[in-house]
Amino acid sequence: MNDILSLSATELGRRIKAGDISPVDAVDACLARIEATEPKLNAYVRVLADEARAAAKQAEKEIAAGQWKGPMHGVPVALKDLYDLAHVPTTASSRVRENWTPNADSAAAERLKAAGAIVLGKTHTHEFAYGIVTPTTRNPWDTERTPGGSSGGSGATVASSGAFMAMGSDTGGSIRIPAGLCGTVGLKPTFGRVSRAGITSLSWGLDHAGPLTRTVEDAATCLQVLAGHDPRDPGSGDEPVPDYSAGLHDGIKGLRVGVPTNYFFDQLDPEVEAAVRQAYEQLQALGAELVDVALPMPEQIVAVEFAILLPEASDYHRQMLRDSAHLYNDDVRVMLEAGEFVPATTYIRAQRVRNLLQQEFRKLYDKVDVIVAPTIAATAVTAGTESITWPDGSEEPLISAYTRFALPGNVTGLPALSVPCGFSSEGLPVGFQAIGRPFDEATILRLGAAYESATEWHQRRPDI
Amino acid sequence: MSRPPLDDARLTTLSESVGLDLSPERRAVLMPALDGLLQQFDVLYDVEVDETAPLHSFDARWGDNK
Repeated sequence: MNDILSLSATELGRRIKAGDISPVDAVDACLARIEATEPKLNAYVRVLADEARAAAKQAEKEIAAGQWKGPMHGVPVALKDLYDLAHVPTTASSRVRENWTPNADSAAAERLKAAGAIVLGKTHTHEFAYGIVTPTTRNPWDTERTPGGSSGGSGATVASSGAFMAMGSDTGGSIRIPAGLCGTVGLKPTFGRVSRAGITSLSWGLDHAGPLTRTVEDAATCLQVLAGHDPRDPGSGDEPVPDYSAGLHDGIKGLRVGVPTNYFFDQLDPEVEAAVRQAYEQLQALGAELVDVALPMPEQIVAVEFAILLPEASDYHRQMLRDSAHLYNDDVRVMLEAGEFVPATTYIRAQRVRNLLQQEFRKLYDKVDVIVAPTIAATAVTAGTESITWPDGSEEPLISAYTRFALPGNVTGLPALSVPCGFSSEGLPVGFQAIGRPFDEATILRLGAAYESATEWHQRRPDI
Repeated sequence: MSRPPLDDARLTTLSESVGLDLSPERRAVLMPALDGLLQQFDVLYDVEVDETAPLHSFDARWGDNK
């Protein structure tokens, strides 16, 4: 594999700025890697090789002329195929949308391009982001297995060094699940931190946009580019954007880390639990104070998520479902049909209970600065698996097993960062997530950076 | 809260009310899924919400003020 591909996005950006590496070479290395891995992974809906090469040549000229745009100038990236890119189809990995081409960039694409990043292509999603396995795509750690979803293509290409970062979206874990299963970092920022303008919606009340990256520092670098108010997104917040690199490496001495005593450890793969318990020990060794916390209202979290998600998704798809129902995959079609029949009062009740949940979580953060928990209850399953059998013999649908731990972050809108923290005995990645206060991405990034500096999990690469 | 299982007659009423045609094959797939989801939502009514308002993203400010 080309040496350039072993760098983080941030380090590549530094070397490009210094003139040690040309953006053209970085793009060529990625394109060669994509060409070599796509027959096994199928991470991309579309690779924009000519456009990327032209943008790289332009970046090279700009930097040589002293027009450096910032740490992502010349860095090759990918976009989940929910993100609009002007004059390139946004298919949402669906036959329903295969001929739809936007005229303008999504806010995220606009910001990344303005920062000088180079878009390599559009990655596969579970159809319309409504699912957690991305059936088109495979996991680079074991190509018989799922990369997770819905941002599965982004997880697969970042993990396999096809791109230095890739955008995902997270309505019920869809950034953190593929990050956890593919062994990358995944950042779901606070609801409202990153604009969703120009991203195909799944649920306006739960959708979050964010990056999948190889390192925590890369996530900070990307967030710096992506964060900020955008009046085109009604959910966008106008909180000030801090400098995410400042204090990133200051350590976590004295940081109060919440260790959940319920919900997150009720039912999960013992190997996942062991890896996360070891991560707590590592965080403590780094100076964190571990504090036991009980998650409030655990019985309501899943119901709030789905009572909001279902009707919002079904309303977005209402006409398409009537015009083109046969073009949807079965798993998505049945959820869209079901969402038509959720009573308005149930939807409103979920929004009221969500308010209570938010208030209860706020109290929790009087005792802690961050909560650390497993990202997912299990590792990557073989493609096509629909349920998980736990050691006690009980069976759980895969969608529940994979989303359960992610949902607190979606219904509360709190920022959550998934960080690699080990491997199973089968060589499959495990991650933990750090969940912070609203708009306090800086603290979860600082925790992630401290953990990463003391471990080597993020440096492992799949042999593909 | 007890909820009678969804049956074909109720699903017909529901689908007609939203203008969604469902073939017998679609009904067979949808009925158990919908039943399970609606039952899952029952826990929302186990919570005392008092005067709690719903959360939503509506913002009454106009244009430039947003």
